[in-house]
Amino acid sequence: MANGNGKTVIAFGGGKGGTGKSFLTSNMGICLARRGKKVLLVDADFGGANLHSFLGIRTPDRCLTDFFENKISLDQLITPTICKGVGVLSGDFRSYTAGVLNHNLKLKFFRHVQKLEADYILLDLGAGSHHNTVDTFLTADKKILVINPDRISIENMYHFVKTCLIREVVKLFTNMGRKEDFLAIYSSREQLSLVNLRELIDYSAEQFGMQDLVADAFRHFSPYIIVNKIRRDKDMMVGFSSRSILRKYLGIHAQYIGFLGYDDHICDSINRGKIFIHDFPTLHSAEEVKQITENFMENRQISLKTSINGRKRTF
Amino acid sequence: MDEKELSRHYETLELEPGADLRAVRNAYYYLKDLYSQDSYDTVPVQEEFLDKKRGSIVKEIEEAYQALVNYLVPGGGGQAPDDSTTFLQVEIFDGKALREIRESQKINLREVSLATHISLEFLKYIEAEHFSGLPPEVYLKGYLKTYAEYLHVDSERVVTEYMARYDAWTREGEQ
Repeated sequence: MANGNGKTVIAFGGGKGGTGKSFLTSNMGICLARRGKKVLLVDADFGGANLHSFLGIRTPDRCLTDFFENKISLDQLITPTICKGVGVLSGDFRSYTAGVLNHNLKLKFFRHVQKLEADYILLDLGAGSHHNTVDTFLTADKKILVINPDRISIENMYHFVKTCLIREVVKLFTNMGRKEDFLAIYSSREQLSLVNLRELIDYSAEQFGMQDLVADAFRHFSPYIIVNKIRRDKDMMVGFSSRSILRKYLGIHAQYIGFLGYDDHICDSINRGKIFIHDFPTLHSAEEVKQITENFMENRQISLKTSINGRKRTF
Repeated sequence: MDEKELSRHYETLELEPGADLRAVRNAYYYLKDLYSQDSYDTVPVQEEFLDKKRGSIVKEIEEAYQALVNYLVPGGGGQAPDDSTTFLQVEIFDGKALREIRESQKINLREVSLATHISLEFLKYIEAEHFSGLPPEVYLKGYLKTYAEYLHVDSERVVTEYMARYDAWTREGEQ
């Protein structure tokens, strides 16, 4: 699913803050570079930029503020990291109006990002389901949802995914010149007793014979799931339940590519200004990051068969 | 069963076509559990979870499982095990009960041994309650727990109830 020029844009999202998006962006990026790829990490968390801290960079001397305010081109803002083949575009952390960046400016930014030279461009998105974040997520070739095994994270993830789906549906209806029709159904959804998203979308699609288009868009969405911060074996099952629910209720085919244990060493590395996977290369969680990257590259999934053995949910 | 139907059942259990009996069984137990009760991973989508939809999902899962077991076990033709009625009615988890539960799931002992790394001999002794042939208590408890988890039954109950019988036998020997 890479662009024509062999470049793959990967976005890390998931709705909740602190689930490990920046951690996985940086450390998976390093794993990709170790496989001989040219990797560019982009801090697309406007208003909460901190990707540089995961890369052992104290204060970036160049950052996206220079792009937004001083019109410096992106390729001049890339900072090399101590890892071979990994460059970083540090976030817009010097401006304090970033949360309300002009929409057009953002579009321009993402157009320019797509043109940068790299095999993999990894986008570290901010928390929340703001349409800016969601739209960025949707433009990526590969979409990764980073979740934690807790109710809040799962709640936010579903909200994030549903927002993605609504954006896709609106886009479809707009392309068909039917945006107003969809919005009319949307605003009268209660009178029509459409109690949930699935019903709303099914009803609208049926009204205009767009079922196939919608199904196609949903199939195309196909995100990856990574469960981070698991503390006990059964926590990993959240990846399966999310995958199953997304499939059975929303018609989305997600892939569960890996899980990662909660590890105090990660915070420890960052506090000491180190890069985790360099700092503790032999730790179990470092191995898990490598495994996730491998699964991602090889299109492998976690299988229920291997993981359930003796680790099942307690009834 | 034709190809299309077969792949639909695999799809329902979220498996690759051609997955084996064990994978089918695991997926069945997992999904049935997931959609039959509330848990922290399903509550956040409550809104999407209308009881009707949920009921039809559970029904599909049951049907897919039954069809796939019948397909994968030649001459099996039996009923899908239904733990909600049968297993919960187990009065006491003794060797005989474990054997019956295993047989109802169409699993042979060799399969259990391969998956759990418990020797075939010990498994036989556990089911036959041939207590003198069993390893020391600590090992036995571990084996029972592993075996119970493999069968998807309450491992705590299995260990407690089986060990009560084992203890009774030990006491008899002392007298």
